[in-house]
Amino acid sequence: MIKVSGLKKTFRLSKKQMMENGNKEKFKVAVKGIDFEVFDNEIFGLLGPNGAGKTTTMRCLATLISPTEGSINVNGFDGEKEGASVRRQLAFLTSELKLDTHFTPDYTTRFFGRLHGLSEASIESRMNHLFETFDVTPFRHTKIGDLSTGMKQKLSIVVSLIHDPQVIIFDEPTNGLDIITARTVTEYLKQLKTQGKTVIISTHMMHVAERLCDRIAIIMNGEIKAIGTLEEIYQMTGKSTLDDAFFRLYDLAGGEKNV
Amino acid sequence: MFKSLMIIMKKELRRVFTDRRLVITNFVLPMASIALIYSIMGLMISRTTEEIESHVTKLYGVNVPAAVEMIFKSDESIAFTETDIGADEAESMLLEGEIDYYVVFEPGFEEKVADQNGGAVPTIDGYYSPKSDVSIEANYKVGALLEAYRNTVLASRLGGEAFLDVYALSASEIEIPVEDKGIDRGIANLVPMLVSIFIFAGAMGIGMDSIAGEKERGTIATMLLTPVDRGVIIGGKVLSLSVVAVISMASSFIGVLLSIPFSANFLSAEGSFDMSQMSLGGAELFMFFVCMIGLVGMYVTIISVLSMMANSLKEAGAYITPAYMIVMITAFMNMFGSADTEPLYQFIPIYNNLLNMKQILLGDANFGSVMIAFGTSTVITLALLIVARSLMHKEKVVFPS
Repeated sequence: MIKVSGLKKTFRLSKKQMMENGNKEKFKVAVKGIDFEVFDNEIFGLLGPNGAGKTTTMRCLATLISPTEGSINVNGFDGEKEGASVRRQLAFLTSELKLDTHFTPDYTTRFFGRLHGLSEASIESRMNHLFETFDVTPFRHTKIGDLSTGMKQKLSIVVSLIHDPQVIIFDEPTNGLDIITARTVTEYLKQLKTQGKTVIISTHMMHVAERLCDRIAIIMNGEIKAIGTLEEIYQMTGKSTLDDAFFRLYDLAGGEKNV
Repeated sequence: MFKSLMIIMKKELRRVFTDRRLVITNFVLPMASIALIYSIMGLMISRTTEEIESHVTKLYGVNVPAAVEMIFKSDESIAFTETDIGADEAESMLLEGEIDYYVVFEPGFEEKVADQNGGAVPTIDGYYSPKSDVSIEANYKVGALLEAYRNTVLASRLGGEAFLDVYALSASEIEIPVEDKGIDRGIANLVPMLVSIFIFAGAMGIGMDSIAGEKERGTIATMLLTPVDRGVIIGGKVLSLSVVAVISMASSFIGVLLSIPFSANFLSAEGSFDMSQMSLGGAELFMFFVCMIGLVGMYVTIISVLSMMANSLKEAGAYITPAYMIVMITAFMNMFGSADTEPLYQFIPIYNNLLNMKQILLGDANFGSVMIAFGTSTVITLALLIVARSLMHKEKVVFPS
């Protein structure tokens, strides 16, 4: 279970970033004090336009960066004080995190398994299971640099799941994947949910969120504009599809200028 | 923690030693290129020396007295020609390399020498070209022959050659006890410089790639998602880099040793050198190793901190180049300086290790000085490790964009 309370994240901007923004603001508030909870046996969707604060929220959850204010609790562990314990509990996947192209999937997965403190036997059985699930087995001794984009993405998923985490946070997990591989990933996320795991995904694909998520938070300009089940979001916005609901909230937030 | 440190170190070493390109550029090429360059330099210097020694000096002279002419002609390495060409023509011939030396004696030289009563002495004007090695050598040769002529004149004035003998100087090389015997001074000056530069150069390329490169590629961030402390991650990288630096340094040093048969003439102060001189006692070897480890620790952590601060490989290169220059300047200062030191020098980081290495090689090892240098190196290495660890925790450093 994840509990996020009053999460706020402010970044100090470099001179270059200030010039790019075209103003003299030294700070950017990426997330403006958000609260939400994600439960076991649940897939929770974080939706929002680019720059809305989704990835920053996820990075805070993964303890890669520290919140400026507020707190994060993952399965009873405090994100700030017990970072290592939180990381033992979770898997985080985002396009910014890459694997060394020089190594093979076999070596890379073992390496991360060892860093998570797993025994060689556990690594072997877990790796074989994940390799089979994501069709990595035929390429296990091929250099990562020689793999296709889709295979690299699948391997990133395998590596993130090697320690059988309770909490799974995937930022755009189907990005760049063909339709068959994307289906493999979403089906596996459903399986994880049935195993009692807590899953958070962010996606720009509304149909994926509709099909996969039990609850959704729509985040714009660092604030949660709507949170709930699909039905609750439809009710809140008076729309009958997630696409329409999203644009309704987008318009209410002031369109492009304010998100 | 130790287990994680070892896992990261092994991965980093595997990254280096399974990449043929990195192995060739960091271990094979330095050895091969240094062996080749030093050998070629040695061979070229030998060839030049042989050419100068076998060259017959073309000497043109004006108004050369008979006694001097006889001395010139008695030297088989000189081809003397009496001439009446002027200085301007002789200078152009010297520049063209047609002659090696041009000497002009004042008219009536011999008479003026004979009449000498403490007044003005007759002059001899000599000309040579500073751009020609054989011409420079001719200047020494003619100078030595004229000195012989002067002695003849003086002997004649004083009434016999015996009057030229004022004292008998007998300088003998003392026997150095085997246990105190250091190696050749030229090599002792050179080795610390090479060790220092090779360690830094060996760690530089791989260090930049391992830290700044991984930051740029996003692979370091993936490791931050594991329960391992960020300090352990950088610690593992520093350890592996130390191993790489020592191996790379050893490879470069082997290159120098391979070139010794050809390069001893310019590396050694005595002009010759054999490998048996490199043998040091157990205590000396230990102290030399301690000095080397001190340098490795400092260089690897300097490279790590600067690479951490950089957002890209290119930026890391820009940050590390000035540090490399400082290392080179320190190495050259030690190479040309004296091994006799002020006690304060033992507290100057980097320089103190180089100084001790030199003293060890010269047979003047001082255990206390080595330990002081090791202490200062350890303090700096630990301080830099703390800086590197704190940088790993800075969001702006790890995720600059």
